[in-house]
Amino acid sequence: MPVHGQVKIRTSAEQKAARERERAEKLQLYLTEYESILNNRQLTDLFALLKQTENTLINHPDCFTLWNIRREVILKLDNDKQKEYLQKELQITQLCLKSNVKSYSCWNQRQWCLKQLKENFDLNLYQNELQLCQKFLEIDERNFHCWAYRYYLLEHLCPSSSSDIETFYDNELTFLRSTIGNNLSNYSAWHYRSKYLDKLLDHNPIRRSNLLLKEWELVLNAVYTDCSDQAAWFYLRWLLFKQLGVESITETEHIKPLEELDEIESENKWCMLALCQLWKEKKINDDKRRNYLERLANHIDTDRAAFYRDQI
Amino acid sequence: MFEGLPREYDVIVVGTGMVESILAAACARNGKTVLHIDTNEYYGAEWASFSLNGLIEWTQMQENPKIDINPQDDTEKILPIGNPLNVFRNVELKWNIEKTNEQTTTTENESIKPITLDVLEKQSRKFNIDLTPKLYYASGGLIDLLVQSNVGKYCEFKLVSRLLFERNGQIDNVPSSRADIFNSNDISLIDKRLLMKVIMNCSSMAIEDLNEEHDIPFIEYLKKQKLNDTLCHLIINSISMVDYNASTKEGIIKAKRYLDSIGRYGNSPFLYPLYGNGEMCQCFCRLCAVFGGFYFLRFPLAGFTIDSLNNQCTGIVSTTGERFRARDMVICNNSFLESVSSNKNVIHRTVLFTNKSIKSSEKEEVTYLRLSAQNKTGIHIIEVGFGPGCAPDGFFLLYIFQESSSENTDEIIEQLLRLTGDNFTRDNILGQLTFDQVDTMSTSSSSSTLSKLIVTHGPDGSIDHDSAVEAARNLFYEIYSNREEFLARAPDPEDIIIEGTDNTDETNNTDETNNTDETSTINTATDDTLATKTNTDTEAL
Repeated sequence: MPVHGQVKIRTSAEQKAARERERAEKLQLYLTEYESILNNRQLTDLFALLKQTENTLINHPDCFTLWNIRREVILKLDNDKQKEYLQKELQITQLCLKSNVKSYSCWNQRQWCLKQLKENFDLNLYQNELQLCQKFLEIDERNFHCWAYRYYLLEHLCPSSSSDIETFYDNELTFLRSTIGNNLSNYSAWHYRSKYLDKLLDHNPIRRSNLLLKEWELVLNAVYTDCSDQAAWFYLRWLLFKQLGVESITETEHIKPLEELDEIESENKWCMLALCQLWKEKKINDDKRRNYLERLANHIDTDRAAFYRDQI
Repeated sequence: MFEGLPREYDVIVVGTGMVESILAAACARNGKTVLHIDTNEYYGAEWASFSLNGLIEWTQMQENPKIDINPQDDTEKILPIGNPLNVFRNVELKWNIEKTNEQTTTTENESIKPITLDVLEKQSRKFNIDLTPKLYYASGGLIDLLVQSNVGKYCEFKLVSRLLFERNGQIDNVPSSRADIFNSNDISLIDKRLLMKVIMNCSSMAIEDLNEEHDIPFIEYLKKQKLNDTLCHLIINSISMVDYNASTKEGIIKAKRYLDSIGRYGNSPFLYPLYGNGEMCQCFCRLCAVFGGFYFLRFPLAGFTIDSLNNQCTGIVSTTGERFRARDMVICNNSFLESVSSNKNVIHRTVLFTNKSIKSSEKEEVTYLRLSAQNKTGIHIIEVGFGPGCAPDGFFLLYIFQESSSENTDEIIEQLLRLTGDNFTRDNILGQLTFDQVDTMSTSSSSSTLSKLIVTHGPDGSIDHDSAVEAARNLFYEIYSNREEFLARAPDPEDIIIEGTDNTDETNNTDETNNTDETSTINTATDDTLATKTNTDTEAL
C-alpha cells in the first residue's frame, strides 16, 4: 500500500500469538482481582468490596462466589441503602448479561433482587423487567433463562380479579402463539403454553372443549408442517394424554389424521410412536402396533431399542 | 487538466460499471497501478443510481463532442470511441401530474392539493433511482464476494422483506420458509407436508445426487411429488424462479440457492442496498482507490492508442491529445466501442413513480414480485420506498423488467393493475420512465481483434449479479492466468503494523452492530458472527 507509507500486516501466526498474549494477560488480571476480593471479604468497607466485585464481574459474569459476596454485603446494609443498592444491582446484572445472555448467576441475581424488593412492590419495576425480557427474547427466542424469569414476573403481575385474569391468560396465549409462529421449534414457548392453558382451563372450564379443539388444530398443523420437530410432538402427547384424556380421544378426530400423516411419512419415528401409544390406549390395531414397535427398535431408532421393546 | 496525473500504469480501466469496477479493485488489490476513468460525471455507468434531478438530466442524454485525434507517428493507430450512452434507446419520461400548482385557486383544505412535479423535484436528493435494479442473494454471488474481499464494510443493505406471487387473481405472500408455511391459512395440512418435503429435498440435494430420474422437465418432477397446480406454480415461479420449460436440474439448483439464502440475514433470501444499486460500483472503486488506484470522472476520452506493428492496444488518448500508457492491459466496457449500436437484443426497463405501495403494509417493505406463466419469461417487479433511502416518505419506485423482453410494457402494467385491484390504481402512478437497454451480456462476446484490450459487458435482464461477478472473475484469470488471487480479503485495521510504532494499533474497527430484524439495516462485513445466528428454520430445512 504505497499511499500509506510502509505498512506490514500481521500474519495469521502472529495474530494467534497476539491473541494468546491477550488471554494470558486477562487471566492474570482476573486471578489477582479474585484473590484480593477474598482477602477483603471480612473487612468493613462494604462499598469498596461492592466496587471491586462489580469490576471483576462485568468481565467474568459467571463467578458464583462473587455474586454470593455481593448478596452478603447488600443484606448487611440498612433498609434505605439496601433498596438503593438493589436497584443498582439490577443495572449491574444487565451489564453483565450483555457479555453472557445465558448466565445462570446473573438471572438468579435479578430474581433475588426482586424477591428482596417484594415488600415494596412496584408495578413499574415489573413492567420494565417484562420489557427487558422482551428484548432478550428478540435476541434469542429460545433463551430458557429469560423464559423462566418471564414466568416468574408474570406470576407476580397476575391480576387478582376474576374477569381480568382470563384476559391476562388469553393475552399470554396469544403472545406464545406468535412466538411459535416465528419458530416452531421453540420448546420454551410450547412448554409455557401448556402451563397457561392449564391455568386458563382451571379458571374457566366452560371453554374447555373449544380451547382444546383449537389447540389440537394448532399442534396438528405443527406436526404436519415439520414432522421431525420434537417440541410439537411432545406437546401433542401432553395435549392428548394429559389434557384431553383417553376417553375423549376419538378415532376420527385424533387418530385418523396421524395415520394419514404416517402414510406420507412412512419412517417417521415420532409419528409411529404417537400412533403406537394411541392404539394401545384405545386397544385397537394391536398387530400393527407391535409391528411398528419392532421396526422402531430394530431399524429406525436402534439407539432406543429397549424403550420400544418395553412397550410391546 | 492532467497536472500531477502519471502517464503510465499497469492497467487502464475505461468505464465505472460493475464488471469494470470489480476488475479495477482486483487489480489494485494485487499491487497493480490502475487508472480508472469514465466519460460520465457519475460512477456506475449503466449501473448508476440518480437523484430525481439527476435522472431527468440523464434522460436528456447529453453527448460529449467527438474530436478526431491524429496518430503521433507511423507506428500508432487511433481507435476512436463511440458514444457510450448509445446502449440506451427510446428513453421516455412521462409525468401524469402537473408541473406546478401556482395557478390553481386556493382551496380551504391545503392537504388535498394534488402533488406536483416541483414538489417532487424539491425532494430530489431523497430519490435514488436505479438504471439497473438488482437484488442480492444472501449466499453466493456478489454478497460472498463483498464479504470475502471485505468490501462489504463500505455498504449497507436492507432485507427484501416481502416476496409476492400471483394467486387466484391477487398478489399474496410467498410461503417459502417453515414459519411461512406453518402460519399460512391457504394451504391444507397434507399440502403443507408435501410442500415442506419438496423444499427440504431441494435444500439437501447435492449435484451428485441428480440422476436419470431427474431428466424430466421440472414441472413434471414437481407433479410427481404430488403437488397441486398452485404449489407447482409457487415453486417454479417464486422459489426456483425459472421458466416453465426448465429442466429439473436447473429448477433444483436454483431452488437450493434460494433456500440456502433464507436465514442468513433474516427470513428472506434477498438483500437490497441502501441508496440503490449504484452504490455497489462505488464500493469497489473505493477499494481500488484505497490500494492506490487513480480516478478521473468526466474524462475527455477520444479513443485508444494502438501499436500498429503488433496490433496491440497500448493505452488511451484524451481529446486534447494527451496519451496515457497501459503496460499490461486496457479494460474497457463495450459500450465505448462503436460496434454496440448494431446490437439487436434489448432489455425493456420501466420505472414507475408512485404514491402508494402495490400492497398495503404496516411497516416499510422492500418488495419483490415475480410474474410468470406458461410460455412466457419471468417479469421482475421490485418496489422500494423510504426504507432503503430510495424515495421520500410516502413515495415509491416500482421497477419492472424482464429476463428476455417479449412482453409489452403497457400490457405488463395492465396485468399488474388487475392484480392490485382497488388497493393500487392508475391514479397512483405519478410518472413513468421507460427505456431500452442493449443487452451486451447475452450476445456472444465479440472479442476485439486487438490484443491487450479486454472488453467487458453491461448488465443482463436477470434479477441478480451472478453473471457480472462471474465475468469479472473469468476476465481477471484471463489476464493474470491463475497466478494471482482474485480480491483477497483486505486486512482489518488492527492487523496492520505501521513501521516504527508498537505492535498494538489503536485504530478502532467500526463494524456496526448487526440486527437481523427486517426493519433495520444489515452490514455484511461482520458476517462471521452472523453466520452462527442462522434462523433455526433453515436448520430444519
